[in-house]
Parts: sequence; structure tokens; C-alpha cells
Amino acid sequence: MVDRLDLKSGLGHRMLLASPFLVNPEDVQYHLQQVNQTVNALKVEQSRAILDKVTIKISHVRDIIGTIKNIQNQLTLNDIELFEVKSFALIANDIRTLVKPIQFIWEQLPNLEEVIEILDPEGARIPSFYINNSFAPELGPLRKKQIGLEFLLEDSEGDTNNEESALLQQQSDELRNKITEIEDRVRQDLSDKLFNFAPALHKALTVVGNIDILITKAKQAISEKLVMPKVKGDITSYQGLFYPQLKATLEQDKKRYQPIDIDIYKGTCLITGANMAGKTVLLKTLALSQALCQYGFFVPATSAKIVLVEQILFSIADEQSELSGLSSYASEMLKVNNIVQLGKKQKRLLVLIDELARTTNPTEGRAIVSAVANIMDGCNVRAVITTHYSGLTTQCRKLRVKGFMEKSKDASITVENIGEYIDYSLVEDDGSTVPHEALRIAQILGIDADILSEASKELDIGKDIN
Amino acid sequence: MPFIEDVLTYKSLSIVGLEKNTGKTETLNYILGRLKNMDKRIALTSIGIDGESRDIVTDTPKPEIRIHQGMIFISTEKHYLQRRITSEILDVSNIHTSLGRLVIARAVTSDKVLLSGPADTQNLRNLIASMAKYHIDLTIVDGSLSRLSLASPAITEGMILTTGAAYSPNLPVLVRKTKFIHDLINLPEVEPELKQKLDCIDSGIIAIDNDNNLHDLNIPSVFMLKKVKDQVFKYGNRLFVAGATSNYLFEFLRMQKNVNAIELVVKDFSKIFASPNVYYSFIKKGGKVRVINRTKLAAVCINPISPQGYNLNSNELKAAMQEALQIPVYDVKKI
Repeated sequence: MVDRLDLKSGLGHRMLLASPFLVNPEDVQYHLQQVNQTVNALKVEQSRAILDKVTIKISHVRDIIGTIKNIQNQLTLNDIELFEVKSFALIANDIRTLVKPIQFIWEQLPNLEEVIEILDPEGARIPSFYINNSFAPELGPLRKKQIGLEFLLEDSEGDTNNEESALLQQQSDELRNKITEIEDRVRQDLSDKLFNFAPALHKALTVVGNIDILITKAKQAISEKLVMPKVKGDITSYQGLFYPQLKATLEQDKKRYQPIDIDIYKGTCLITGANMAGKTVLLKTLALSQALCQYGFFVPATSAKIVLVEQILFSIADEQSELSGLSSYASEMLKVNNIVQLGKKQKRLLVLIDELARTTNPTEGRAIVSAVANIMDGCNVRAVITTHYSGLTTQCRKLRVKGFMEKSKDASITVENIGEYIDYSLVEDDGSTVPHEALRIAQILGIDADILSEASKELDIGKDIN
Repeated sequence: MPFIEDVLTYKSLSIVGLEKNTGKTETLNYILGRLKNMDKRIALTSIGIDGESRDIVTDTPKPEIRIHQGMIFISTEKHYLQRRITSEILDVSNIHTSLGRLVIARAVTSDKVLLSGPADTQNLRNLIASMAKYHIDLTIVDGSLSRLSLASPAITEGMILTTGAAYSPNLPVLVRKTKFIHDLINLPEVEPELKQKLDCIDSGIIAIDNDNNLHDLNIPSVFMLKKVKDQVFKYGNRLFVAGATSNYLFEFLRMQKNVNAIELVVKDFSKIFASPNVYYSFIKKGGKVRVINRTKLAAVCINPISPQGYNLNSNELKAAMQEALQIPVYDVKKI
């Protein structure tokens, strides 16, 4: 989601990457409210036009945090740094003038008029800079003399033996030293004057960066149809939850995307369902939405209530690493162990585990799932664990993905359109049985018929024994 | 005031020396000296770093570039702060070099400066394009040591070539070597229809049939030509190579039966990296080379003195060069 943000300035980018994971409801609420106000502003044509102009201005902003630090440390700025401060102050004040009608942004931006006064005593208001004669009246005559000398020097160039030329060169050097001395004094003077405005400059820089982030967040919220989550209550609850990238891809191919409703209470929630029923995507979406919310973004759903957590813990995909000598099972267990340890410390966590203990034998695997589910149930966590194991003894809450629609006929299902025949919605379940649709799906995927018939035979033998 | 009128017909111009100490900086100073009194807005940049007061390679004194009042010049942060000239910063670009960002400034006085510029051609092209916002009439690019690619017409409209005793102290050899570059620069352009079709292709080797249809040979480099030998001339005798062309390619083409009908099309002269012998033997057997974009040569300047102490006769060199190239040649120290 962050990669798809179209930030206009390097400044915004730096600030976004440095933004903290918010755990305090007031903070999250404040940030979300800001985005909300921006979304509302973008929906009104007048203020939208203003924000478009602001966006263009922001694209010209340089990140001058280094220069501001130099001012704070009372160092003398060089010409390039002075230029940066001047051009930033001009742009920031332009933005300030522009956003006057959008009160909530305007009131955050400090007025940098005095900074501009210092660096542009002539009032030209052009973002170019040099120590011009208005900074020190004595510079004018000296520079005039210098230009005259240079002119003479240029004419006598080449004849290095000429005594007159050597004299000219000496005069020119002396004059230049004098000018440099005055210029340095001016630089020192300007830097001293700017020191008082370092806090205002810093504030303005932060606000401008934030405006960039706000506008892009709000634009994304509108284009991807995101919603502002409520961060009150003790149930995380989503209606119409979706995974933006997947939705976009499917819609591009003119395929159906089914959003999901889910409530997550404190404790463990086991999710079962056939293969290809979207369990992994669901976990990813939950993680994404939680993270987005706690970084002050809108979330991909039609409505959402989110309980804030201190950390999101995730165990997904095969993380086997031959090089460190850990099997997939070992690395998964170490990860789960870490999660359980944190859970035992009564940290507020969102725990998402995909197909726990799937790489070991079903008997022990089932026991591990029950054990982890039970421990998590007693902690201050919201854990969502997907599994294929049936007959789990744990008393925690269980959900099941509905899976294949009853009416669907296998003949018309192909690998391409299989998604159209699956109902991805969740129902409460007792978890005593899990869907046995692996062979059916394998058949649809066009797996070799011999595998299918052999597997069916094996299943029949199993039934006979029972 | 010779060739200054020619210079002013271009929007952008590069000055390229065939060797260090061929008088590139002298030429640049000469042009700037002439331009200062004209009512023209001039911008100056270079590829990489230039304007050291002593030549680092040969440790010979080297004239600095004298910028005149009102001209715009580009320098890196580090060099800008070391400058002696009084100048006004107009912008600090986002292009980074090893010596900091590029500073675009206008000279308030006249003085010598260290010019710098982007180290790659893509950024240089963007930089030249951005000069439009300062209403610049002419952007001059000071080329670095044997960086011919920057004279590519994709970057600057025209070029000035400097050559001299430093390139070769033997007069006939110098003329011959310079003529080779001159011949490449003057290669004819393809017809507009084909130009339009080929201009946007940046890689690969393509056969062109008699109706100007393109057939991609699907090989990444000319070194793979042997593998598709049977296909190369299946469609016709014309071949377009988007990237660099080497001795290998010219030798391959020369050895074909149909060599006198073969026409090689390249992007521009800077893509030809063949040695003179190999190139000319291909031409002698009847092969033809054409370019998509022809570079306009504004002038050839000579420096008869080399840092090793060789001193050619300026007039003789000028006459011989003019005879061979059939265009005006200048020794900027003499005009």
C-alpha cells in the first residue's frame, strides 16, 4: 500500500518512513481525523483545486532538515544552504496563502514572512540567492572595482612576464579577499538572525511533509474505496473487508471479488476451510488493515472497528532455511514459540498464524494446534489461526469458510474460473469436521487421473477399516 | 568573427576533444569571449568535472573557463563553494554527483570557474531541457576526455570538434585520424519514414526488408550474429543495430557475399566503435552505413602544440585539414 502512494516530495517520503506505529487510541484518532478532513476537502471542488495546487508546490520542496540542524547548532550557513532556506520559506508561505480556506491545515503552518525578510531585504521574492549588495552597502563599490580589474586582467592574459599584469593580479587578489571577508560576515550575520526562526522552520518543514502525506493518504482512500476505522470498543469487526491489490487484479480481469465480514474477539479463533478458500489472503488482509490503521491510514473495508494492539505477529509461508540448518517445521516452531512468549507477558497482540504445524504428522500437529489455541485463548491477544486439522479438542471459537457453492457442477469449473464457484464468507462452526475437498480441487486443477483414482482407493480402504 | 554565427544557430552545442590538450578549453573560452557582448543568454555545463587549473593527467597548465557576467553555469556543491566568481544561485537540482548536488547559478561578475555536470547522458539531457525555463538561447556542454557519446545528437544539436598535435604528432596521421571521425559524423541519414520507425527502438538487431518492414532477429548482441547467420539477410540487405557496433560486426559484414549491397543502419555516429582500417575496408568493398540522427558539425578547431613538446606548423596543419575535410578549420589562438 505504501509503495503505491504517490508522494510528491522526498521530504514526505522520509517522514512517512519515520512515522511511528501508533498504539494510543487518541493518536490514531487524531491522524485518522486529519485524513478524514482531507478526504472531505478533496470531495469539494473548490478545495480540491487548492489542494492540487498545493501538491504541485510540494513537489518543489527540498528536504532541508540538515540545514535546519545547522541553524540550530549555530553554524554559519554557506550560500547553498541559505538558498535552500530562502526557497523553502518562499514555497512554505505560498502554500500557506493557498490553503487559507482550508482551516485545519492553515492553522498548523507557521508564517515564515520574517525569514523571507531576512534573506530577501529587497523584497524581490524570487527564489534565487547570493550575497547581493543590499546585505552590505560597502560591497557595491568594491565589486564594481573588481569587475574593472578583471576586465584589465583579461586583456593582459597570456603575458605572464608583464610586470603590470602581475601588479593587477595582486590588486585583484587583495580586493577579492576584502570582498570575501565582507561576504563571510554577512553569512555569519544571516545565520545568527535565522537561529531564532529554527523552530518555526522545523515546524513548517514537518507540516509541509505531513500535508504531502495527508493528501496522498486521502487520495488513496478515495481511489481504493477505503474507510475510516473506529478505534473504540473491544471487538475488532470488519464489514466488507477486502485485499486491495487482489481486488484490483480481479476487477481488471472482470472477475468477482467477494469481500468478507469478520469479528475478532479477545482469544483464539480457528479458521478451517477447503484449499483455495482464501484463508491466507484473509490473514494477510487482517494484518494489512491493522497496520494501516495504526499508521493512521484508512482501511480496506466498507466499515471497520479496530482494537489497537502493541504488535502484529505473523507466521505465514514456508520459511525453511537450509543454510541455517532449520527445517520448515523447526523455523515455524521457533516463530510460534516467540509469539507464545510474548503472549504470556500479557502484551496486547494481534497474532496471525497460517496453517499451524502443517509440516509434521497429523496426530501431533493436531495436538500442537490445540495447545497453542488454548494458551492464546488465555492471553491478552487476538489470535487467528488457520488449519486443515479436524476434531480439535480446544474450546476456542471456530469459523469455517463456506467453500464450494452447493449448486456448482464440477464439469463447468476450470482453473481459471474456480474463484467464481467458491463462497468465501465465514460461518461459525463446531470444528468437528473439516471440508474434504482436496481431491475435488486437485481434479479441477487437472491433476493426473492416476493420482486421483489411487488416492480415492486409499480413502476407501481407510473407511473400511473404520 | 568566424563560426560564431554558425554556433548561434544551435540551441545546444557540445565541444569535444579527440584527445586531452587538443584545445577544447581554449576553444570554449574563445567562444564565450565572443558571445559575451552579444545579446544572447548562454548556459554552460559539462559532463563530469572540468575546469581544473592543472591538468591531472599530464600535469600541464590548463586554461580555466572564464564565465562572463549574466551567463548561467552549472557546478557541483563542492566546487560551487570553492568558486571565486560572485554568482547568484538559481536552483539546486536533485541530480546527485560524487561531489554533491548540481548548483545552477548566474554569474554576477566575470571570473574563472570550475564547471561540472551530470556524469550520465540521461541526466545531462534533462538538464539541457530544463534550461528552457531560464530562457537560454544556447547551452554549451564541455565534453570530457574522449567522451564522444555526449556529442550524440540525442543530447546536443551540434558539436565542435577539437583536434591537434596531442592526438597525433605526425601531421598526415593526425589528418587521417581526424578525417575518420569527420567521416562518421557526416554519415547520411536514413529516409524520414524509416527514421520514425527506428527512432524509438533502443535495443536489439533488426533486419529491414525492401518495404521498410522491420524483422527483429531476437539476438541481444552482434556477437550472436553467427547463430542466426541464415536469417540475417533473409529479408533484405539492410540491418539496424541499436547498440554499439564493433570491429567484429564490420568484419562479419565485409566477409558476406552480398557485401556491396549491405547497408548498416546505426543510431548515430557515436555508436560506431570500429577501428578506421576495419571500417574503411567495409566501405571499400561497397558496404554502406547510414545513421538515424546525423550530428551537425559546427566547426573543427586545431591545436598544433602538444604537451609532449611537439609543435606542428599551424598554417600547414590548417591547410591539410581543410583539404581533407572540405570544411573551415580554425586555430583559435590565431583568430
